[in-house]
Amino acid sequence: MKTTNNIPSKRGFKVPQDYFDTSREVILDNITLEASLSSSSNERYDIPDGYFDNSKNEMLATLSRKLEEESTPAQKTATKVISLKSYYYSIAGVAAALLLLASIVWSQLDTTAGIESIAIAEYLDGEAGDLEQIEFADWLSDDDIDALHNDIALDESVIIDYLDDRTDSYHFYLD
Amino acid sequence: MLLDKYQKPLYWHIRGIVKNHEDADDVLQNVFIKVYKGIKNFKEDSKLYTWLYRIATNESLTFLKRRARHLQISNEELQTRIVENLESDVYFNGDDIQLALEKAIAQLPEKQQLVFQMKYHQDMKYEDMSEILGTSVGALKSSYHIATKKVTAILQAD
Repeated sequence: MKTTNNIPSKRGFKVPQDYFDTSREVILDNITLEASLSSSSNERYDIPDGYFDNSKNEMLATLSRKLEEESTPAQKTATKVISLKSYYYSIAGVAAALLLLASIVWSQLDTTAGIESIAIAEYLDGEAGDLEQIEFADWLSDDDIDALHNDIALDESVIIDYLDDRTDSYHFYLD
Repeated sequence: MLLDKYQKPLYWHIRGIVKNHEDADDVLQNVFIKVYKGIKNFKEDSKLYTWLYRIATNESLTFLKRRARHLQISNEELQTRIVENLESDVYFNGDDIQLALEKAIAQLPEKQQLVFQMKYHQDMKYEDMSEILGTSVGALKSSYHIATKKVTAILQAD
């Protein structure tokens, strides 16, 4: 190998005066700083006696245990598999039951209403026709009657016409 | 001591790659920090000398790549800029021929630049170069041969 002093003169490169002396000091300072930083960073923490001796064995034991677990996944750590088929069957069953229940309730409600309407209509056509108005009115509660009165808005001319039809001529009285 | 023995040769090896003194100084600092950190892991089966040069070479190349990435230019463009800056560098006092040689070397691919510098300027053994660069001796000889022809052609063309 050539002597290093030949290289700068050959290539035209040069260095500042006393560079290698100062550089040496700088490098040594940097190494000292690096050493103190790396050592001080660990000195801040304390560890139990014999930690590294024990931790190696513990680490190996843990590692071998994990490897063993991984090698027998079916026995120890089998992944739980949920069948989607049974899940869909249960959902469909519940839906069908709800649908059946709803249809039964609906049909009963509808039938009851129908029976009531028909029965009332038949009764009114067949039997209520012979009833006097007073008897018909007995079926009604006071509230119902009030409601009827409220709903009927009688015009004065209608009342006069009614009275004309139902009473004798005023000439009769005059006579 | 390690520093006393290798400070200068490593500096000139780094300077040959990065060219600029300030950059070479930065890289040299990093190299010795890495050496300090890694000396415990140093394997006795390789030479200390080649191990140190390998660290210095890798640090220099990493430095250049980082610089190129920072400037958002290619490595080739960076090489061109570096040799152009040599003309105004206060720490370069080479003549026109030496400047032309540096410009010609800068046009070589990265690996050929390294081989040319280590062989031509440092007269390093191919066996040592092989260990430092991780390339076979035959490939290094071939690479140096090609690099020499290219540099000659570039200089003749100028």
